[in-house]
Amino acid sequence: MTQQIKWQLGTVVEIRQETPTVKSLVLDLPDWTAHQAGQHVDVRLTAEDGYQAQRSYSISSAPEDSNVSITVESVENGEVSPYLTGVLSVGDQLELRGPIGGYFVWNATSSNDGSPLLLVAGGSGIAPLMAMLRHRAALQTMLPTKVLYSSRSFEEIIFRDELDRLAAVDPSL
Amino acid sequence: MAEKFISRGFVGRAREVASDRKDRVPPGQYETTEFPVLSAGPTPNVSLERWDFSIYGEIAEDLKWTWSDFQKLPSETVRADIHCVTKWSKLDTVWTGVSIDTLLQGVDLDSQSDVSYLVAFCDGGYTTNMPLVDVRGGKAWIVYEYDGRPLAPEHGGPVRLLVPHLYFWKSAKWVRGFKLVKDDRAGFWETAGYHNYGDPWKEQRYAGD
Repeated sequence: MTQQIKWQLGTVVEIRQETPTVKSLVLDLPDWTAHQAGQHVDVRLTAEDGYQAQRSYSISSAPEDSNVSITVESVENGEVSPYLTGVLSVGDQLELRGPIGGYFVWNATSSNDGSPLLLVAGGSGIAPLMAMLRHRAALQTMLPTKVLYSSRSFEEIIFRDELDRLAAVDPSL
Repeated sequence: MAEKFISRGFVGRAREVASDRKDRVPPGQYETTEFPVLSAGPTPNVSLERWDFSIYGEIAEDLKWTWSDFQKLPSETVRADIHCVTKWSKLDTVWTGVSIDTLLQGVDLDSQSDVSYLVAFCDGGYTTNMPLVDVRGGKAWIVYEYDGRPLAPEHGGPVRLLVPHLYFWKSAKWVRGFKLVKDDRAGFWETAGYHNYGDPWKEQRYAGD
C-alpha cells in the first residue's frame, strides 16, 4: 500500500526577494524525502475560522540543497500568493505536503541517457527548471543544456544573477 | 498535529454568501471562471477523416465508429461541475456528446461481468484508467461540444472523455477509445504519483490519499 504524503509544518528560515513581485521562501521541514527536480508541494493555509485554501508550488531548490525552497509570484487579486509574498515572515510556520509528481521531473543520473537538455519557461515557470539547473550544477554534469526563458520585462527576470553566473562558468550551458 | 494549525495573519477570500455554490466546490479546491489548459505534451493534430473511436479488449466483439458514424449517434447536452487536481473547479460547464451507455449498448457486459475496468487511450499516447461502473448509468460521455461550440483542440477536441465526478485528469483529452479489461491497470498520471481512482470529494489527489 502506498503511503500517504502527509501534511507537515515547515518553518520559514529565509525569504529572498527575487523580483518586485516574486519571492523565494526557504523552508526548514521536519520530515522530508529528497525530491526530484521538477516536483512540487501543496501548500495549505488555514484561517482562524477554519477556512482553508490550497495551492501547488514548484520546488526551486535542488535535491542537494540543505533546505527546500519554493518561488512564488504574487498574483493580483490572488488569495494565497499575496499571503505568501506579503504576510508570511521568517520564523512563521507554513503547512505543506510533498514532494509530489512523477512526470515533469529531471534526474541528472537516472534521466540522463546522454541526450541534451532543453528547458523552456515563461515568467514564474522558471521555478521547477531552476531546480533542474541547480541539480545539474550540484552534480557538475557537463550535459549540453539550453535554457530559453521569457519575461515580460528585464526587472521581472527571476534568478537573473544566478542564471548569468551559471552560464558564465559552464561552456555546456 | 496539523489539525489545529492556523496560518498567522491569513484571512482568505471573502466567504461566498451563496452557500449552495460553495457546497459544490470540493475540499481544497477553489472556483475559477476561466478555463485553464494543462497538458503533459503537445496538442495533437487530428484528421477527422482518419479519426475513429473504438472499444476493444477482453470482450467478445470489438466496436468501432468513424467520425460520421459517431455524429449520427444520439447526443445529450449535460451541465456539470468539473474539478482539476491542480485545485481549480469550474461550475456549470455545458457539454454535448454521446453517453457512454449508448456506446456500450453493443457490448454484452452481462455475460462478461468479470470485465470491470477500462483504460481510455488517446492521440498523443495519454492513458487513464477507471472502473467500468464509473462510466455507466449516465455518469460519463464522449463530448464534442463545449458551451455550444465544437470542442477546441487545447481542451481535447475533436472529442474528450467527460467523467465529471472524478478529478478532471480522468476526462481524457483527444480520446480515441476504451480498452475493457478484467484487471485494473494504472494509466499515465496514475503511474506518476496520482491517485488510482481520484474522487474529488474524498480529496484523492495522490497515491495513498
